Parts: sequence; structure tokens; C-alpha cells
Amino acid sequence: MDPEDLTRALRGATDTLEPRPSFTTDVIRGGKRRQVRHRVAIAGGLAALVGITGGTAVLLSPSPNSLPGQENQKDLYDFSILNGPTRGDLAGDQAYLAQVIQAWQKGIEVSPSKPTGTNQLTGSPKVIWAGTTPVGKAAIVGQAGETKDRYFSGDGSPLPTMGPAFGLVTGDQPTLVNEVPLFSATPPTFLFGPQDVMLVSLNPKAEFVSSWTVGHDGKGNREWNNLNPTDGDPRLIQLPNGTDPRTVRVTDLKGLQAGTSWMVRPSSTYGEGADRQSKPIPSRTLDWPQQPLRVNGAVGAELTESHDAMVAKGMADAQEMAQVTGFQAIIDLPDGRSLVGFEYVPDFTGSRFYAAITDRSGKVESITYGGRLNKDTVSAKVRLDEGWLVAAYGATLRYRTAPNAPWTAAGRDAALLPTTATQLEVTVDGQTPKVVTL
Amino acid sequence: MSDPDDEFTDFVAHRSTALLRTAYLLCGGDRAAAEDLLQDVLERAYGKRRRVKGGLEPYVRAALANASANRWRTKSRRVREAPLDQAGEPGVRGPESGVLDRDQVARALGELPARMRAVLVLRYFDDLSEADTAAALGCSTGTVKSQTSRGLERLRTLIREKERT
Repeated sequence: MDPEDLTRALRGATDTLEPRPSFTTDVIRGGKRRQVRHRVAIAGGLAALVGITGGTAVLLSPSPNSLPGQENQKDLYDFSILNGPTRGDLAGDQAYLAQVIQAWQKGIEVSPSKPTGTNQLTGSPKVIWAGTTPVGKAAIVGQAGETKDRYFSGDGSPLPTMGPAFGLVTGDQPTLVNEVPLFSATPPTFLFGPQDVMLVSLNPKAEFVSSWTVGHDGKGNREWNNLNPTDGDPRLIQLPNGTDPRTVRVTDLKGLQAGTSWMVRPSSTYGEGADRQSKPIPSRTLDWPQQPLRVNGAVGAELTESHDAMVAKGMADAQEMAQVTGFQAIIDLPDGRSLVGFEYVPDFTGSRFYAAITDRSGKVESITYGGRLNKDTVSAKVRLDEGWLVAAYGATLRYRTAPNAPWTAAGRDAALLPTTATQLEVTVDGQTPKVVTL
Repeated sequence: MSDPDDEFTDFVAHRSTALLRTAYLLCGGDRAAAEDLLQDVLERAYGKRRRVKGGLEPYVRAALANASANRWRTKSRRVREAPLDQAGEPGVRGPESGVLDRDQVARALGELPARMRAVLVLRYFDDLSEADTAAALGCSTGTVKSQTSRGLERLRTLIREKERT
């Protein structure tokens, strides 16, 4: 094969490939989302890379009994839990432990995370913990692995070639139900059982747990509860009914700042085929375009740095792993400031509407909550001191101040109406007008 | 002055097919991984679109090559998205390939070390010069030369082995 053969073969191998139809839209949407702010999960294998490259570090204590050949990696990966005794009330049940190992080996063979090629598991799997929980038997397995590839961090130092993998096995007929693939710097925290109600964590630093809920007033709450850790034992706790597993985080709380908690891995999403290492990302429930709607040629800045203000107001979760935003409508105010109506998804229940007032530099001065948005929303609306901010993509707007008063034109897409407005008429081209009560 | 947003959208709309094909080869013939990789790189590039010098396309190609080399960190975390009914689909011999099965060469590429694979893809698929390939990958032209030579040899060996089996 000469180079020309190779070129022909490479062209032949790719000449029918086309991106999916929505690819460009998806890229632009994702790019905007990242630009607003993209918070990286500091859990799992990603933490290793982040820690080395200068981001938030999650380093485990050096292990006094690292496996041979791991001495220069001991400050990144802690192998000691692969060497210690099995913990838990089922630690002496040899028949069960054997079943757990079998379940791990069987499960990893068919796992999409199965190490292949230059990545391989090494040595023998180890049952780190096996116990009886309110939702049945469970066990955590660990095994070391290595890569034959050589990679280097930004400063030229070699990245470790060995690291641990972990799996969660549950049930009377033990089955691998979740896993953390190779190169996880942080010992795992899993959720399992009905509605992922049980939490088990091998993370020695995890002392508190919380989930995130948003109330009718748009204010959220994350109440940290003690995991009551016992030295050497896994943390095991049953979460309150109704907890959304996708919002559960654990932390040491000592240095808790925005985005510094550890993500957990719900087993229900694993069972559904989700990428168990990725951040669960909330979905929008409105399909209006993300390109800002500039009312009457408004020149105010696009809202890109609202998150800190949202967190300060209790409207956004400081521990969320991704910030999902949607449409924006920008209206310039007479005093030089701007009013920005925007869609934000603060949890896994869908989009909500907010209004921000920004100064000339785009800095957020205030934020007001305007309620939920869904695919049937006729108009987003929020009452402000300045008036009613309303938005309806692609629609012609009119308002009136009393039931029988004449309609007053208010332009298209979005408008700031007088505080005396009582009704909004929304007309999408070719459709019957709809009236929204303000 | 043109709007960087419009320029970027136009770039993605018009160049994503070519870039996807590069990504596909860099991912060793894994279509789903290639789309993931390209989307990830383009989303990151979006935030830097105003600061990219020397054109978006060379920047994105270099980013693709470098990101694919670090892909081992993430690839094992991905659920394979290819439908199972496509697994093991026999290669289709294209009339233009003559001697090489189109899937066979992509799979053989996938067995090369990531850097070596990137060198071959940039040199022989994207037609980059040795100097441009070196600049894209942040290495010397000497490294590109040696990786090219060794990469071609290993590729020949891999394809011969696959033909025998």
C-alpha cells in the first residue's frame, strides 16, 4: 500500500458520511450553553485530568500499601481499598462474594465501558464492601486496570497508566447494575434500589448529602444532611422519598463552593443505557430559538453571566453540573439599562422564565422569577416595577387594560407593557389569536 | 464587520461533513464517537470563535486531532450509540478503493496509537503538509516524518493480518 492507495482508501471509507440534520443547530446551542458557563463535573476519571491540568483538584491521600509499580501514582489514585479486607455484614458470606465477583466479570464483559485495546483490567477483582440494605443485598467491586498508551499532562509530566475501576452489584441474583470505568480518581458514590433511594459511597471525604428542589416561588433549596460516616466503612443512607437522584451530591462541606461537590451515579439511568459518567443535563421544555430576540433593535448585551446572581437569589443550584439556558428577549430601557427576559432550566422539571435588569456593561442588577414554561406556553410573562415583560416567539402582540378596552399594538416577539395591562393577545401568523390574562 | 455568530454557523453548516469524515478516521471508524468528538470540539470552538487566528478550519482540525489523542480518557465512558443491528456489518468494497476494504482500513487505523493515527489522517486524508501536520499536533516535522513512516508500515502489517484472517 502506497500513500496514494491510503488516500483513496480513506476517502472511500468516508464518502457516504454526513452529519445528522440537526447537527449545526445542536452545535450552536451547545456552544452557547458552554459559553454561558460550563461547569465541569469533578467526579470520576475526569477529576484526574482536571486535577493535573490545574483545575479543581480532587486528590486522595497517599496510600501506604499501593500495589507494586504504582508508587509514582499514589497521590492520584488510591489503591488501598483494593487491598484491604472486605467490609459489610456480608463480608463473611463467601458464597455471596463469589457470586458478586461472577456478576462483575459477567457484567463488565457486556458493558459498553469494557476496557478494550490498549486499556485492560489487571489483577483480580476485589469485593470492597458487601452488605444488607433496606432494599436488599448490595456490594461494591473494584479492580485495577492499565493503559499501554502514554499520555502527558500540560506540563509534560506523564499521566498515570494505572487506575481503578468500580462496580455496584445488587440483588439476590447478583447483577452488575452500575460502574465507574477505569481511571476514577474518586472512589464512587452510587444510588440504587427503587427510585434510586439508597446511597452508598466509598468516598472517604463524603460527609454530607443533599438534593436540589425548586419551589413554586422559583427559589431552590439544597439542605445538607450528615452521612454519619464511620471510619473505614462505606456511607450508606436511604434518601427521602421523592428525591430526584439526578440532583444528589455529596461533599466534605469544609471547602464547599459552587461546583465543588461530588456527583453520584444513579443506577436507574444506567439501566436505561445512559452514559453513566456524564452529567445528567436538564432538558428545555420550550422550543423557541436561542438567538436573542432584540425588541425594536435593542442593543443591550446578551445575558451571559447571570448564574452567580441566580445562585445568590437562590434561583439556581450552585452544585449543578451544567447550566441550561434557552431563549432571551432584550428590551432597552430609557435610562440606558436593559431588560432581559430569559429561559433557564434550574432542575429536571423543565424550563422557567426570569427577567433580569442589566446595566450598560451587561452586569446583572436584579432578577425576578416569572413562572414555568412548557411547550404549550402562549406567552412568557413576569410582572416588574417597570411593567409586564411578555414574550411570545414569532407572534404579534396586543394588550389592553380592561376587558372591553380597545387593543393596543405592542409589536412582535416581546414587549414591556404598562403595569395597568390586564390582557395580552398573542397572534401567530395564520393562527387564531389567543388571549392571555396578566 | 460580519457577525462572528453568523460566520461560525455558516462554517459549521458548510464544513461539518468534511470535518465529520476526518473525525471518523481519527476515531478509528466509530461513527457515534466521531459525531460526539466533532460536536464537542465545535462547541468549544464556538466560545473562541472571535479569537481564533489563521482560520477556523485549521484550528478545528488541529483540535480534533489533539482531542482524539486524549480520547482514551473518555471513550470507555461512552455508551456505544451504533445500533446493534449494524454491529459486525461486513465492509463494503467501494469501486474507488481497488485494493482496500473501506471499513477494513478505518478499523486498522483504529488500532494504531492515537498520535500516529492522527498523523496519517492529517497527512493522507486532509492533505496537510508535514509542516502543517506538525503545527497542528504540536510536534516537530521530524516526528511527523517518523510517525508517518512507521504508521504506514504498521498499517500495512495490520491490513495484511486482517486479510489473512
